[in-house]
Amino acid sequence: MLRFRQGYYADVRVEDRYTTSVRYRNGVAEENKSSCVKKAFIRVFDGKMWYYASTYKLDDLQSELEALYAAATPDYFVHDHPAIKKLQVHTKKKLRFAGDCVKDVPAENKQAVLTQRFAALSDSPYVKMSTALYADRYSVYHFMSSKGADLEYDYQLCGAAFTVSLSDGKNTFDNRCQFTASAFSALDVTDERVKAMVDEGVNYLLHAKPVAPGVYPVILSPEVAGVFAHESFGHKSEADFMIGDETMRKEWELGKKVGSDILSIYDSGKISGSGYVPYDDEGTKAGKTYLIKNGVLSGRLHSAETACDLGEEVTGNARAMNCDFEPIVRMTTTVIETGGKTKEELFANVSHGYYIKTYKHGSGMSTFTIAPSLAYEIVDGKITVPVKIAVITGNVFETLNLIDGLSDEVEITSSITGGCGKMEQWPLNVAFGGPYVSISKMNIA
Amino acid sequence: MNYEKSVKNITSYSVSVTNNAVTSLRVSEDLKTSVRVYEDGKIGVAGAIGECSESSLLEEARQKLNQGIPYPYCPAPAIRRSERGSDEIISYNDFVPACKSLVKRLSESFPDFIFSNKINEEKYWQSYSSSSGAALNYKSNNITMALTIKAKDSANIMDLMYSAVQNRYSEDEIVADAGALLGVYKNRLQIPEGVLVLIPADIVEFLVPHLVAEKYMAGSGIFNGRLGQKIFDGKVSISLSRKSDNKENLPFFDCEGTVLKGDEYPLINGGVLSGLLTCKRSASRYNLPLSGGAEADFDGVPSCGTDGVRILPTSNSLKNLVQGKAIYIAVTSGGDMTTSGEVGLPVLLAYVYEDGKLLGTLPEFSLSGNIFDMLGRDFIGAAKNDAFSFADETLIVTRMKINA
Repeated sequence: MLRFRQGYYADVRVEDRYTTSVRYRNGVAEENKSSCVKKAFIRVFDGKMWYYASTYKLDDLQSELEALYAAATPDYFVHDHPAIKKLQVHTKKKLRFAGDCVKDVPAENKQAVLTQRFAALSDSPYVKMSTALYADRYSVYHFMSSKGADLEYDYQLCGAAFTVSLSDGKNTFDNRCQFTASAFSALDVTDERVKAMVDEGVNYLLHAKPVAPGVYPVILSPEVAGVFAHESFGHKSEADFMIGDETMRKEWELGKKVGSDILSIYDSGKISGSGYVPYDDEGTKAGKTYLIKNGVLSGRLHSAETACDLGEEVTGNARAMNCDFEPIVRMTTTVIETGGKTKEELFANVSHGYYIKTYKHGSGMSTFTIAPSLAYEIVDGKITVPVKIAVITGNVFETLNLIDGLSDEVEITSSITGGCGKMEQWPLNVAFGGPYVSISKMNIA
Repeated sequence: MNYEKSVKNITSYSVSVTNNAVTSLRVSEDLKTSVRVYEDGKIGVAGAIGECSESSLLEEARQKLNQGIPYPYCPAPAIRRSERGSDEIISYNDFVPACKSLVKRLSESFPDFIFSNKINEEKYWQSYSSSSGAALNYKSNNITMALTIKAKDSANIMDLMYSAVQNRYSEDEIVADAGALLGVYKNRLQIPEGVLVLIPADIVEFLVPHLVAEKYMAGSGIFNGRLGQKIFDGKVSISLSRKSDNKENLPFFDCEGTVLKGDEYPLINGGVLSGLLTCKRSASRYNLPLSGGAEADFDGVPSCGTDGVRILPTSNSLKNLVQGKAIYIAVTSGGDMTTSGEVGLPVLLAYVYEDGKLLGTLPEFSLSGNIFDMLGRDFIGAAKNDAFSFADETLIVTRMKINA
């Protein structure tokens, strides 16, 4: 039992992380491991500065805590500090996944998810290399604070990812698909989807044509719309960029019109998948926060420190990648809400433009950039030939105002292999989603 | 039984800088041990975090042989070598005061700007030993400056970043570097026509996946079938370098105990594709030389890594490569390359460069070009950015199309 001292705020986060990684290349096993890593992250606040320690010495957490106390200066009113007052106190033990845990799944069952797909994965003469990856993670978190928080909760995700490297001797292309679920029993990996991924990749390899750089109408798939929401606006909603910055406060005043009337974006840690965060790493319970509602700036994402600085409420978005790092403001699951059109109606409105179906990576500041993987030309409302596009890019605010159509169903994309990067912390598990999104003008390069 | 053991110990101090103030100190210690055993063409791996018993790990690794993961046993040469890079740069007790002093000076010297993010000092130690008699040790320290900079009147979350990794510390030089960037930041210029562009050398990362042996040998990379052939201008040389002058705490050996001749392996030599990135598995499978870049998780099977790949300077001075004005690309938003080698690079911040100095900033634009032209007929050279003192940045001098 940890002994917290008077005169300091302190909290301790312990994560017991179990992971599995099974990988085959061209049907040959390259990796098959299960790891258990248990580490702790300790925070002490003395009213002026935070003192952190990341440690694997779990038997000696009290000594680590004492070392941080020694570096800090006591303030006997620290629990009255407005940032500390923002911190929630929950005492709960809820292990949602313990009864259906990936730790209990036999290793051969995990391998079979991959080995059963080998035929579908290599069913084309253009496949020059294939990789199949199974990964899972089960984390149990224990969070305690000097305010009395005592929380135990868990996180789980498993999935499989398949990649093919294709070549016709002249051109090359890599295509991939991924399956995820919150429990192994719900993981639905099918030959059909793997085969469809290979076939679509081959079509792209053989028929993709270059695009003349320029400005075009664009339709984003739900997956790409999700990464667009994350990169274009989600990062701007992370309030740690605004601490003590008067210009940012004026520019980002709630109620300001920032996008098209049909656009609403929210972030929520309550959605199952890779962005599931029932409590953040300061012990704050997950919420649903509208960032944009009907085109109007409606909220932002907070830690206790940023909520205090901006006079707003905590949102459950103080997150750390693992126990090597302190929590900073991060997204969880970021979603563009539906609109009123069908997917078919959105495409029918485009006489000449491009459909961005999948992506390789994205980034965003004042300008966002997404590097497409699969992309197609749209002619007279129909998806036609595949195209090679290095990046799509645009000014965030101009582009948010150019959204002119949203389809009527949202798809959420979880990821078992990647995640979000912010400064030194990459990859953090997040998810995102949206409907099909039509944008009247976007730069294509 | 054939085995190898690797131990990595990293201690770091890191401060957060928030709006021109040092707001936190983080102390981290990480100790990881890996043991790998080899038998009958198979590998077994065990790893531990923290103090551990070598005999227990050996036994665990031996049991993992049952997983049947094929891996060739290629014993590391019985080399015994120890190398010590930089000593401690700033002591633990002096670290926060030094960071506070720097941040105070930066905020006072550049009152129109806000500095945030991280300053980090890392103490790195790694060893490798094997049943074949190899005993390798490496110890070094470095400092990483990762400061975001925002103009106070800007609505951007950041406007530029000052990044530097060094094995020494100089507050004066860091302030001078910031001065080179910020002293002319508000001097808005027009995009000069027909000039060279100076691109940070990390654009080479677009090429790295195509230099990996598995991808190349599968015929699915952009250099398909061109090993031994000239692919770029004769001045272009790209190597995997583990030389002791690196600032990244990169040991002279990889995780499999491979030590390179001259601590360097040429991938592109004088424009010729001369080597591929390998680990012992891919080198054995394709009968290729070891590139010395294998990496592995503490409990994982080694695979081909890419740390240390860099373009070699063609000149001691950027001034020798650039006559008149050029455009220095300071901040990009992502960017990527298609499978045909077409590069798209949205540029958020660029400066006009002339004679070792930055003159002013340019409006946003994007760059496009083909990598075979950028490093081929349009390649002028590569050299250290001489506008900076502390930051050790290599720039590629070439031509690209500017889309304003």
